[in-house]
Order: sequence, then C-alpha cells, then structure tokens
Amino acid sequence: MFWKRFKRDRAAVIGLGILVFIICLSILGPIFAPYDPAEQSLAKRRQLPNWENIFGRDAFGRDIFSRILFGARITLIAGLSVVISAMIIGTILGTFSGYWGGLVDILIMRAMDFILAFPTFFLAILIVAMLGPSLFNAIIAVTITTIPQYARVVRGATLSLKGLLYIEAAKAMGASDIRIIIEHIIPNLIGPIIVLASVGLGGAVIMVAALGFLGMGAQPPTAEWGLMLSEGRSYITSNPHMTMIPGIFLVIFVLGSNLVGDGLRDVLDPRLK
Amino acid sequence: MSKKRYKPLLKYVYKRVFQMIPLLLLISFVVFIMLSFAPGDPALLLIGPIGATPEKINEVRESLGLNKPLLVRYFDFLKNLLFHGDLGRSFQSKRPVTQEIARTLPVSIRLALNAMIISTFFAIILGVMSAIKQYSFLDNITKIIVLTGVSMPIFWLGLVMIVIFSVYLGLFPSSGWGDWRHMFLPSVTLAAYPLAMLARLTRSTMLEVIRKDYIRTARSKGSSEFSVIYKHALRNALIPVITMTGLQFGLLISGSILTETVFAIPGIGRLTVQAIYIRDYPIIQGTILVSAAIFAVVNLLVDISYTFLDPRVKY
Repeated sequence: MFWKRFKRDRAAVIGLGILVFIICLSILGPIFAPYDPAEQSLAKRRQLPNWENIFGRDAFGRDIFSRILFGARITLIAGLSVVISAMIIGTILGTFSGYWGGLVDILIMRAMDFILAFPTFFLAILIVAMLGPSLFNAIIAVTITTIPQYARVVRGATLSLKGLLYIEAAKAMGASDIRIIIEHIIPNLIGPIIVLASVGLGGAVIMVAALGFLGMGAQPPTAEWGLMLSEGRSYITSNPHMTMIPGIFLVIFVLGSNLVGDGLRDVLDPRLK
Repeated sequence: MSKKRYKPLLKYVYKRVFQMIPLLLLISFVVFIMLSFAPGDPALLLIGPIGATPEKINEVRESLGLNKPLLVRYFDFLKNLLFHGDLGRSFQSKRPVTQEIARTLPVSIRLALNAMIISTFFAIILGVMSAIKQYSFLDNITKIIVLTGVSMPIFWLGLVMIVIFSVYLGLFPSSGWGDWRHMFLPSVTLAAYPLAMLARLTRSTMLEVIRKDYIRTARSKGSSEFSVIYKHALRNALIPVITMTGLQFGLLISGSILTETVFAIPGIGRLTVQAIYIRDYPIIQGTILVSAAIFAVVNLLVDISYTFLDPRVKY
C-alpha cells in the first residue's frame, strides 16, 4: 500500500533503481569481475580506460573496474552495518529512556549529549585512532556518532506513545514493560526509524569512505572506494581517472539513497516535508 | 531589550557557561583515556625504524613522560591547563600545543567563515527565488543543486575542483594558503553541502510562510510585493534558517578536516589528522578540546540568538 504512493514520486523511483543497480553490482559483480582486484601488474600501471580495462588501471596496475565491483559490496555492507546497528542500539536506548524515565533517562540522554558535544568527524577519527585503522573500526566509529540521532527520535516518539490509553490498558492487564515496549511501542516507531535510516545511509557511506580516504578506514589492498580515491590522488594531474571514477560511484550511490530516503519520508511522514 | 527579558536571559547564559566547564573537563578526560588505549607507540614513531633499540625507546618515552601512570599524567595535564593555560608540548615539534593551535585555528576559522558566508548568501537567494516562483526553471535548477550538493562527498568535490579549476583551467592554485586565490576553491568546496541544506530549508520555510494568513493580509493592505516578501515573509522564514546556519558551523568544523587535507591548508583539521598519524597525543588532546569548546560556544550563541529573533521565546 505504501508502494503505490512511493511509485508516484518519480525521483524516488529513480533513486530506488540506482540502489538496486548498486546492490546487483555488489552481489553479482565480484563473480563476474574480469580481474582479481588485488592482482598487480607493474607494467600496466596507471593505464587509462581502454578496451581491455574498462576503467583503466590504478597506481599498482590493478584493474579499476574489478575494484569498483568489489568496492560496491564493501561500501554497501559498511553503510548498511552502520545504519542497522545505530538503529537497533538507538531504538533500545531511546525506548528505555522514554519509557522508564528517571535515572535511566537522565543517564542515557547525558551520554547522547556527550557524543553530540564533539564535532562529528573529529569524534569519528578519535575513535578510529583509539581502535586502530581498519574498515571494521571505521564502521564502529561512524555507528557511535550516529546513535544519538536515533535515540533522541525514538525517545521522543516513546514519550508521546507512553500516555496512550491502550498502553494503560495493557499495563492494567499485567503486561510486563518489555512486552509493552516490543508489542506496542516499537511497531509505531517503525515509520520515523525507517526514514532516519534511509536518509542516513548516504551520510554513513560518505563518512566511512572519508575515513578510508584519510587512511583511517579500510586498509590497502582492500578495494574500498574512499581508499581508492586517496590512492589515486597523487596522480590527479596526469591520470585523473584513478580518483574520479571511484568518486563518481560514491556520488551515484549516495544520490540514489538520498532520493529513496526523501521518497520514503514523503510517504511515511508527510509532516516532515 | 526590555529589562524584563534581560535578566532571565543572563541567568540562562550563566547556567549554560557553567555547564560547559564540567562538559569540557569530561571531554578532556575521555579523550585522554581513549588515547591511552590507542595502538602504536609515539616514541617508536618518533625514533623511526632505525636505531629503535628498547633502551632508546624507553629513553624517549621517559622524556615524553609516557612512563608515568595514566592518572598521574592526566592530573599533570589538568594542572597545567587550569593553572598555567598550558596544553603541553607536541611530541614531534616540541613546540607548545597552544602555539600550534594559535597558528592553525585562525586559518580554519577563516575558511569556515568564508564557507558560511558563501553558503548562506546563495542559499537564501536560491531558496527565496525558487519559493516565489515555484515550478519555474529556477526552482528546478535549485532542486538539482540541492540534490547534488548533499550527495557529494566533500573530499571528492575538492578533488574535482582541483582537476577542473587548477589542472585544466589553471585558474587557481591547487594547494596552500596565502591570498584570496588560495581561499577560493576550498571555501567553495566547504560551502557546497551547507548551501544545499540551507537552500532546501529556506525554500520550504518560505513556501510555508507565503501561504500564511498574515501574508494575505499584507497583500490586501496594498503593500508592494517587495515589502510583502522581504519585510513580512522573509523575516519569519529566516528564523529556522539562521538556527541552521549556526548548527552548520559544527559541520564546517568537521568538514574542515577533509577540505584542509585535500587542499593542504595549514588549519586545525589537518593538524589533528597529522597528529593522529604520528600519535602526537598532546596535539590531539588540545585540538579536540578546543574544537569541542568552540562548538559548544557556537551552539550557545545560536540558542541566545533565538531570543532576539523570535519574540515568543523566553528564557
């Protein structure tokens, strides 16, 4: 039923098409990739796009097209991991905070405020500095910086749902708190959470790629798009394709997820428009 | 401002400033603890792979004070900061951290201000124009700008700018900091995302406000269209926009890290990144503390500005 409304928004459908395309790339790509993304060829370094290598080769002679395909998988999984983890943790924190109130609420919200007191990217690089540079740690860092948004929204929604009569009825019938949260409150939160998640996917992907760009995320020889961007940077004057191509794919991905996010928001929560 | 609103506002400001102090202390503590868990030995990185005997490493660690217990080190740091305003010395350059920050912070602030001015100016123009003439060509262009603006990673945009304007057109230098030519590309790059967000916000708030009854009243009063738009509509529409501009400052501080890295600008963002590469803990400690403090102050200013902008808001 939501699908019908969603379909009407042409931009959102285009965005969905883009996302589906990226998903296909990430699932099927590595199977059909013409070359091993880590296979170096010192003789063919920095080759411009040609018939043999559609996107050319990078500074180590690795085929960029294959690296883009493998990178699609990494980027998609990284972005989804961030968003889903933040969603789960944020929802737990937000419902506990909103439903029980009191000390729990104060502690959780203070923790969220603490995270929000740092300029976002500074906190992310600090967390990676503490944990060590790797794609996994980059995902953790970005997740931590994203959790407060979810926690706050969920808390607000929980607070307003708490006072509804059917909650009181459920309590009177003896339902436990956890049961009420799971059966009554969370189903009503799905709308705003999905909106946050879909709009946030693009931002999460950019942040993970940014950490990769700085060398604080995925490490060589991983074919992560942000890392590929920084690897190609030294040759930007002579062989810009090495930097531009991963970047264009990042833009396409984020564009698609933003379009879908806006579309979902218009369908699920028209007030926010 | 009337005396009636003046006093509670002052109390609010005092309260907020008061709350900032324990927050910054907590931040400094948490950052300290986090850095102590960080992998990598600063002493080892300073000496380099050659000549890194265990004795030499220990010697350097002693000189950097790294062998003392964690809490002792923290309280030394705190003592220096609170009583002497001293943030310690860089492990690498041995210069005082405060000096390094004093060298780099103005650069970043200049960059952020440039970006803020560019983004706010063009965002308001685009937002208002596209709201007034909905569905027009300008409106569609604005929508496209907004969409691409929020979808482009800032580090990629910077590199694209360099490729187009520096490499192919040769109009601007690709790196460094000096005159306005060095400032142009990075400022525009940093401004892109805030511009997109602000334009979108301006457009939607203007659209809302234009439909309000008091606009209809102003028009039926016979006021010129110009005065209707600028005196009545824009003023009210700008309130959330100005709020967002203040909040964007946090994004600008964060964005400065990437922009400064791409354009090799000697700002506080790049200082932090390089300090992390070489595990220069005092610098990292100092820059994060300072940027969090600035962030907190800007947020406070935004909250205070609310009182001036929206007479309905009282503290």
